[in-house]
Amino acid sequence: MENKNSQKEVISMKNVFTFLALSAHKINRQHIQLFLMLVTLVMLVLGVGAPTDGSGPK
Amino acid sequence: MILLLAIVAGLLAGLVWAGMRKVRYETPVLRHIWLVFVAFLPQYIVTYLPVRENLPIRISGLCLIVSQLLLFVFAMLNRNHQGMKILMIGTMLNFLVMAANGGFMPISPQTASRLVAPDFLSTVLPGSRFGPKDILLSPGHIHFEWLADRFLPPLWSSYQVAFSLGDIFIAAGVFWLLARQKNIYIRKGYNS
Repeated sequence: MENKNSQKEVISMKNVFTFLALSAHKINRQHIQLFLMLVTLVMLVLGVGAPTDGSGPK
Repeated sequence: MILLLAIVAGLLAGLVWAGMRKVRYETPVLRHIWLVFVAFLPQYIVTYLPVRENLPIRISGLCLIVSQLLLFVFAMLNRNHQGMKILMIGTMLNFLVMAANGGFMPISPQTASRLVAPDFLSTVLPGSRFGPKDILLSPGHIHFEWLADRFLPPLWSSYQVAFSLGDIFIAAGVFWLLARQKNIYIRKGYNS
Protein backbone atom coordinates (compact mmCIF):
# COMPACT_ATOMS: atom_id res chain seq x y z
CA MET A 1 0.00 0.00 0.00
CA GLU A 2 2.77 2.39 1.01
CA ASN A 3 4.70 1.44 -2.10
CA LYS A 4 1.71 2.29 -4.30
CA ASN A 5 1.39 5.68 -2.63
CA SER A 6 5.05 6.51 -3.21
CA GLN A 7 4.70 5.41 -6.85
CA LYS A 8 1.72 7.75 -7.24
CA GLU A 9 3.75 10.59 -5.71
CA VAL A 10 6.59 9.95 -8.17
CA ILE A 11 4.14 9.97 -11.09
CA SER A 12 2.50 13.22 -9.94
CA MET A 13 5.92 14.81 -9.46
CA LYS A 14 6.83 13.73 -12.98
CA ASN A 15 3.62 15.32 -14.23
CA VAL A 16 4.49 18.55 -12.48
CA PHE A 17 7.96 18.59 -14.00
CA THR A 18 6.56 17.79 -17.43
CA PHE A 19 4.03 20.59 -17.06
CA LEU A 20 6.73 23.04 -15.99
CA ALA A 21 8.99 22.00 -18.85
CA LEU A 22 6.16 22.43 -21.37
CA SER A 23 5.20 25.78 -19.88
CA ALA A 24 8.79 26.98 -20.06
CA HIS A 25 8.87 26.04 -23.73
CA LYS A 26 5.72 28.11 -24.32
CA ILE A 27 7.28 31.21 -22.75
CA ASN A 28 8.80 32.88 -25.73
CA ARG A 29 10.53 36.17 -26.37
CA GLN A 30 7.25 38.01 -26.78
CA HIS A 31 6.03 36.99 -23.31
CA ILE A 32 9.23 38.23 -21.69
CA GLN A 33 9.02 41.44 -23.69
CA LEU A 34 5.40 41.93 -22.62
CA PHE A 35 6.24 41.26 -18.96
CA LEU A 36 9.16 43.71 -19.01
CA MET A 37 7.09 46.34 -20.76
CA LEU A 38 4.28 45.98 -18.21
CA VAL A 39 6.68 46.26 -15.25
CA THR A 40 8.20 49.34 -16.87
CA LEU A 41 4.81 50.94 -17.44
CA VAL A 42 3.67 50.19 -13.88
CA MET A 43 6.78 51.90 -12.51
CA LEU A 44 6.39 54.76 -14.96
CA VAL A 45 2.76 55.55 -14.07
CA LEU A 46 3.39 55.10 -10.35
CA GLY A 47 6.36 57.43 -10.71
CA VAL A 48 4.77 60.22 -12.71
CA GLY A 49 1.20 59.93 -11.41
CA ALA A 50 0.14 61.27 -8.05
CA PRO A 51 -3.38 60.19 -7.18
CA THR A 52 -4.20 59.75 -3.49
CA ASP A 53 -6.70 57.11 -2.55
CA GLY A 54 -8.77 56.89 0.56
CA SER A 55 -6.82 54.09 2.13
CA GLY A 56 -6.26 56.10 5.30
CA PRO A 57 -8.43 55.74 8.39
CA LYS A 58 -12.03 56.66 7.61
CA MET B 1 -4.73 52.26 -8.25
CA ILE B 2 -6.64 54.17 -10.95
CA LEU B 3 -3.48 54.35 -13.04
CA LEU B 4 -2.93 50.61 -12.72
CA LEU B 5 -6.53 50.11 -13.83
CA ALA B 6 -5.73 52.13 -16.96
CA ILE B 7 -2.86 49.70 -17.72
CA VAL B 8 -5.13 46.66 -17.30
CA ALA B 9 -7.90 48.27 -19.36
CA GLY B 10 -5.47 49.28 -22.12
CA LEU B 11 -3.94 45.81 -22.31
CA LEU B 12 -7.36 44.16 -22.43
CA ALA B 13 -8.54 46.56 -25.13
CA GLY B 14 -5.38 45.85 -27.16
CA LEU B 15 -5.79 42.08 -26.79
CA VAL B 16 -9.46 42.19 -27.77
CA TRP B 17 -8.67 44.44 -30.75
CA ALA B 18 -5.90 42.12 -31.92
CA GLY B 19 -8.11 39.06 -31.31
CA MET B 20 -10.93 40.53 -33.36
CA ARG B 21 -8.54 41.14 -36.25
CA LYS B 22 -7.02 37.68 -35.74
CA VAL B 23 -3.50 39.06 -35.45
CA ARG B 24 -0.95 38.64 -32.70
CA TYR B 25 -0.89 41.31 -29.99
CA GLU B 26 2.12 43.49 -30.66
CA THR B 27 3.89 44.65 -27.52
CA PRO B 28 4.88 48.32 -27.79
CA VAL B 29 8.65 48.44 -28.01
CA LEU B 30 10.07 50.75 -25.37
CA ARG B 31 13.68 51.90 -25.44
CA HIS B 32 15.98 52.73 -22.52
CA ILE B 33 13.95 50.70 -20.01
CA TRP B 34 16.86 50.85 -17.54
CA LEU B 35 16.15 54.56 -17.09
CA VAL B 36 12.76 53.84 -15.49
CA PHE B 37 14.36 51.50 -12.93
CA VAL B 38 17.02 54.11 -12.09
CA ALA B 39 14.48 56.95 -11.96
CA PHE B 40 12.01 55.05 -9.79
CA LEU B 41 14.57 54.11 -7.13
CA PRO B 42 14.80 57.47 -5.26
CA GLN B 43 11.04 57.79 -5.41
CA TYR B 44 10.58 54.30 -4.03
CA ILE B 45 12.81 55.15 -1.07
CA VAL B 46 11.01 58.37 -0.14
CA THR B 47 7.47 57.17 -0.75
CA TYR B 48 7.29 53.50 0.15
CA LEU B 49 10.11 52.61 2.55
CA PRO B 50 9.77 53.30 6.32
CA VAL B 51 12.90 55.46 6.11
CA ARG B 52 10.72 58.18 4.57
CA GLU B 53 9.54 59.20 8.07
CA ASN B 54 13.08 60.19 9.05
CA LEU B 55 13.96 62.08 5.88
CA PRO B 56 13.70 65.89 5.85
CA ILE B 57 10.72 66.99 3.77
CA ARG B 58 12.97 69.02 1.44
CA ILE B 59 15.14 66.01 0.62
CA SER B 60 12.03 63.93 -0.09
CA GLY B 61 10.65 66.65 -2.33
CA LEU B 62 13.92 66.93 -4.21
CA CYS B 63 14.06 63.15 -4.75
CA LEU B 64 10.52 63.22 -6.17
CA ILE B 65 11.39 66.05 -8.56
CA VAL B 66 14.59 64.36 -9.79
CA SER B 67 12.73 61.09 -10.24
CA GLN B 68 9.95 62.76 -12.23
CA LEU B 69 12.45 64.55 -14.43
CA LEU B 70 14.20 61.29 -15.30
CA LEU B 71 10.88 59.60 -16.01
CA PHE B 72 9.96 62.50 -18.28
CA VAL B 73 13.23 61.96 -20.16
CA PHE B 74 12.27 58.30 -20.59
CA ALA B 75 8.86 59.28 -21.96
CA MET B 76 10.53 61.72 -24.32
CA LEU B 77 12.93 59.08 -25.61
CA ASN B 78 9.89 56.94 -26.43
CA ARG B 79 7.74 59.68 -27.91
CA ASN B 80 7.42 57.78 -31.16
CA HIS B 81 4.36 56.15 -29.53
CA GLN B 82 1.22 58.31 -29.62
CA GLY B 83 0.20 57.20 -26.14
CA MET B 84 3.55 58.29 -24.77
CA LYS B 85 2.96 61.81 -26.11
CA ILE B 86 -0.31 62.02 -24.15
CA LEU B 87 1.45 60.60 -21.09
CA MET B 88 4.15 63.28 -21.47
CA ILE B 89 1.55 66.03 -21.18
CA GLY B 90 0.32 64.53 -17.90
CA THR B 91 3.87 64.14 -16.63
CA MET B 92 4.62 67.77 -17.42
CA LEU B 93 1.47 69.01 -15.67
CA ASN B 94 2.17 66.94 -12.54
CA PHE B 95 5.82 67.99 -12.58
CA LEU B 96 4.88 71.66 -12.83
CA VAL B 97 2.49 71.62 -9.88
CA MET B 98 4.76 69.43 -7.75
CA ALA B 99 7.88 71.49 -8.44
CA ALA B 100 5.97 74.65 -7.57
CA ASN B 101 4.83 73.16 -4.26
CA GLY B 102 8.10 71.86 -2.84
CA GLY B 103 8.20 68.60 -4.77
CA PHE B 104 4.85 67.30 -3.52
CA MET B 105 1.37 67.13 -4.99
CA PRO B 106 -0.79 69.57 -3.07
CA ILE B 107 -4.19 68.57 -1.74
CA SER B 108 -6.62 70.83 0.05
CA PRO B 109 -8.23 69.90 3.39
CA GLN B 110 -11.63 69.96 1.66
CA THR B 111 -10.55 67.33 -0.85
CA ALA B 112 -8.68 65.32 1.79
CA SER B 113 -11.81 65.20 3.97
CA ARG B 114 -13.38 62.89 1.37
CA LEU B 115 -10.51 60.43 1.76
CA VAL B 116 -9.93 60.16 5.51
CA ALA B 117 -11.89 60.54 8.71
CA PRO B 118 -12.18 64.07 10.16
CA ASP B 119 -10.47 62.92 13.39
CA PHE B 120 -7.44 61.79 11.43
CA LEU B 121 -7.43 64.87 9.23
CA SER B 122 -7.38 67.16 12.26
CA THR B 123 -4.07 65.59 13.30
CA VAL B 124 -2.41 66.46 9.96
CA LEU B 125 -0.91 69.93 10.10
CA PRO B 126 -1.03 72.16 7.01
CA GLY B 127 2.23 71.81 5.12
CA SER B 128 2.85 68.23 6.25
CA ARG B 129 2.84 65.12 4.13
CA PHE B 130 -0.44 63.45 3.34
CA GLY B 131 -0.19 60.09 1.63
CA PRO B 132 2.88 58.97 -0.31
CA LYS B 133 3.34 62.03 -2.52
CA ASP B 134 0.88 64.63 -1.31
CA ILE B 135 1.17 67.62 0.94
CA LEU B 136 -1.77 69.15 2.78
CA LEU B 137 -2.13 72.83 1.91
CA SER B 138 -4.99 75.30 2.15
CA PRO B 139 -6.23 76.42 -1.31
CA GLY B 140 -4.76 79.88 -0.78
CA HIS B 141 -1.27 78.44 -0.38
CA ILE B 142 -1.37 76.11 -3.39
CA HIS B 143 0.48 77.19 -6.52
CA PHE B 144 -1.32 76.07 -9.71
CA GLU B 145 -4.33 74.90 -7.75
CA TRP B 146 -6.11 73.76 -10.92
CA LEU B 147 -3.35 71.17 -11.43
CA ALA B 148 -3.50 69.80 -7.87
CA ASP B 149 -5.24 66.64 -6.64
CA ARG B 150 -8.74 68.08 -6.79
CA PHE B 151 -10.87 65.70 -8.81
CA LEU B 152 -12.98 63.14 -6.96
CA PRO B 153 -15.32 60.33 -7.98
CA PRO B 154 -19.03 60.71 -7.14
CA LEU B 155 -19.96 60.52 -3.46
CA TRP B 156 -21.84 57.25 -3.95
CA SER B 157 -18.67 55.49 -5.12
CA SER B 158 -17.18 53.15 -2.51
CA TYR B 159 -13.67 53.87 -3.84
CA GLN B 160 -12.63 57.41 -3.09
CA VAL B 161 -9.54 58.81 -4.74
CA ALA B 162 -8.26 62.32 -5.43
CA PHE B 163 -6.51 62.84 -8.74
CA SER B 164 -5.12 65.65 -10.81
CA LEU B 165 -5.53 66.79 -14.40
CA GLY B 166 -2.06 65.35 -15.06
CA ASP B 167 -3.21 61.97 -13.77
CA ILE B 168 -6.06 61.97 -16.30
CA PHE B 169 -3.60 62.52 -19.16
CA ILE B 170 -1.27 59.84 -17.77
CA ALA B 171 -4.12 57.30 -17.55
CA ALA B 172 -5.30 58.17 -21.06
CA GLY B 173 -1.76 57.95 -22.44
CA VAL B 174 -0.93 54.56 -20.98
CA PHE B 175 -4.33 53.22 -22.08
CA TRP B 176 -3.76 54.40 -25.64
CA LEU B 177 -0.20 53.07 -25.67
CA LEU B 178 -1.39 49.55 -24.86
CA ALA B 179 -4.70 49.59 -26.71
CA ARG B 180 -3.55 50.97 -30.04
CA GLN B 181 -2.19 48.26 -32.27
CA LYS B 182 0.11 49.98 -34.71
CA ASN B 183 0.78 46.88 -36.83
CA ILE B 184 -2.89 46.40 -37.62
CA TYR B 185 -3.10 49.70 -39.44
CA ILE B 186 0.18 49.03 -41.26
CA ARG B 187 -0.87 45.58 -42.40
CA LYS B 188 -4.25 46.90 -43.44
CA GLY B 189 -2.43 49.49 -45.52
CA TYR B 190 -0.32 46.85 -47.23
CA ASN B 191 -3.33 44.67 -48.01
CA SER B 192 -5.40 47.42 -49.53
